[in-house]
Amino acid sequence: MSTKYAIQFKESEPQRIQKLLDFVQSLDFVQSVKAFSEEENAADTITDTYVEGYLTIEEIKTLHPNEWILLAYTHKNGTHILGGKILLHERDKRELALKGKDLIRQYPDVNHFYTGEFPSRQRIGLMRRITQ
Amino acid sequence: MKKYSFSLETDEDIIIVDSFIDNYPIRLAIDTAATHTVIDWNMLLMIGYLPENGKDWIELETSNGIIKAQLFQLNYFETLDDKLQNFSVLSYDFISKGILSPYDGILGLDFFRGRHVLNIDFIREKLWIDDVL
Repeated sequence: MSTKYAIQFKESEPQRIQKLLDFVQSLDFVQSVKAFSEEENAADTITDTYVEGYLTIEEIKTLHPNEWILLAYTHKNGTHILGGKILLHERDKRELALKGKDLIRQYPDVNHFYTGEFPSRQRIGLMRRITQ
Repeated sequence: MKKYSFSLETDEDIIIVDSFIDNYPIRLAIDTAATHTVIDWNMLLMIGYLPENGKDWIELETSNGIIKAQLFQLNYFETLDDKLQNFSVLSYDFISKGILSPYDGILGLDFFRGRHVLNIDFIREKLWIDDVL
């Protein structure tokens, strides 16, 4: 799984831009860097942010506080979810699981997350099998 | 090898890695104090595993006391660039145990044991596993 980003520069400065692109490409977590011409619109390739109903994580948290959300077309930065299109929102994680079962195979880049705060210092810890 | 970033900004943060069960993304907390990988049963339910797909019930010693967890064999499991078929995990219902967490389970020692060299750089907040031995 990977996330694609499009960057639009203010003006054409090929040398500075190329240096930046070379640097980005050199980072070990970058898979590829691709430049698009004006005719070859990046939006054709990077469609996620143009999905109808796309919301940022902040918008989702405001709309559905303290709920479990199932998102499609999810944009992520590492493990952090940046936004997506809401498929489901539920107070209860079990409900989300039951209702989301079929949806997760119908849409691309489906993820789930909770919009509320997690209780502090709650840990599962020490999962030691003691019988078999 | 691919390096993964994590963030321990607060003293409550833990190391979470993106993982996939049958290509559905979940988040697992790395826990080298756990002998086994454990997944929230609600996640397995959403991905399509049912109790009848599970195997034995096993008792686990946890910080919440001793609980029963069911053994499941996953069709496909991917984390930290390692792709496994028929990886076994334990599962129980986090909700019924009152667990509300930003992760869907824990990645325990059974994933690493005899299989990986786990490197954790706490200065640069990066982790990676070396090639499978």
